[in-house]
Amino acid sequence: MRTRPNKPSDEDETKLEPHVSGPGKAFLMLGIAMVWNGVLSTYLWKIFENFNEGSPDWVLNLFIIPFVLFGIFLIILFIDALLALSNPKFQLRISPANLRLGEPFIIGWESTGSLRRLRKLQFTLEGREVATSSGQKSITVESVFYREILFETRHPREHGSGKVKFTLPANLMHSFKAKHNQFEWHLHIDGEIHRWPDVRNKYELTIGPAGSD
Amino acid sequence: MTSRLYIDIEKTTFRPNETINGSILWALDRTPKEIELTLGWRTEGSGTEDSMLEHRFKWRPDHSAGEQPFEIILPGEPCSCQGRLITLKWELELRAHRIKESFKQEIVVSTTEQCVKLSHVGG
Repeated sequence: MRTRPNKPSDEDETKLEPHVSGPGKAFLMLGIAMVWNGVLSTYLWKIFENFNEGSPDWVLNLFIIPFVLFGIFLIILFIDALLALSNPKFQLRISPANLRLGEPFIIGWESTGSLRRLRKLQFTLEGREVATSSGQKSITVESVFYREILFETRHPREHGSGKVKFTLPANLMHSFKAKHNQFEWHLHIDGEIHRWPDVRNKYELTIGPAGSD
Repeated sequence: MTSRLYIDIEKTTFRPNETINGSILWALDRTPKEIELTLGWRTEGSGTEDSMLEHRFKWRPDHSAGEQPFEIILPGEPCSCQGRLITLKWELELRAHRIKESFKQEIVVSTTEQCVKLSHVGG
């Protein structure tokens, strides 16, 4: 998956890029669905041949059902990602470019596309611990330590553009990335659309310690 | 003094980029070839340990006992933190060459001069 965090700079404002782009997600789901269902098709062909020969293997037939269902689920996820490509697009700018705990920042957005379809728009800031234990089996566990809704509206007029000002408490953990342990900050944009895949965008933020140079 | 190696610092809580002023003290059976002081952080908790050595100082003492002042400027991050899954600790460690004993002194690095404590948010 592609990760494009906002790079700290001396500029007053920086543009945020989504954690995974819409086309990127669709291609990823297509790839996974093709590999899974491609491998599965060789077994399905074997089952088909057994039926034609009049000697069906019922153990294999029953065993393969959950794998077929998962294959269908992957195709649904791909279609979902494909439909979501027509969702409204958001361009985000954040200032200052160097975010710090305990200091105010402003998130500005402009959106394009069919905004009238959006029923609800919500911006959420989230801090998360991510720990990976590497052994014979690599296991990753996560814990959310901060969640705050920055903006929430059901008024279509407010969907097009706007600004949110916010200050994070100083007594939290800043962004930190080591090989197995991370403290991550993300901005989530969630938009509800009736009878259509919802808008779900995630942006990685790099937030520095409070009051440091 | 239970250990024959000791790190003497005035306080154990510091702000990022602050300077640690202190002394190392040793009283050993023979003159060590080398004494080493390190400053670094490491993680504890659910994940595999990560660690980083930020500073390393070495001295060649003339006597089996003595004192040596030191000055270390702390980096800007990471801050000490105690989370639900991850704990990040800063530590000074003093070792003498070919002597098994060492002396460790944990310190807190934080902008609020307190270890950051995180709890799980549901939902």
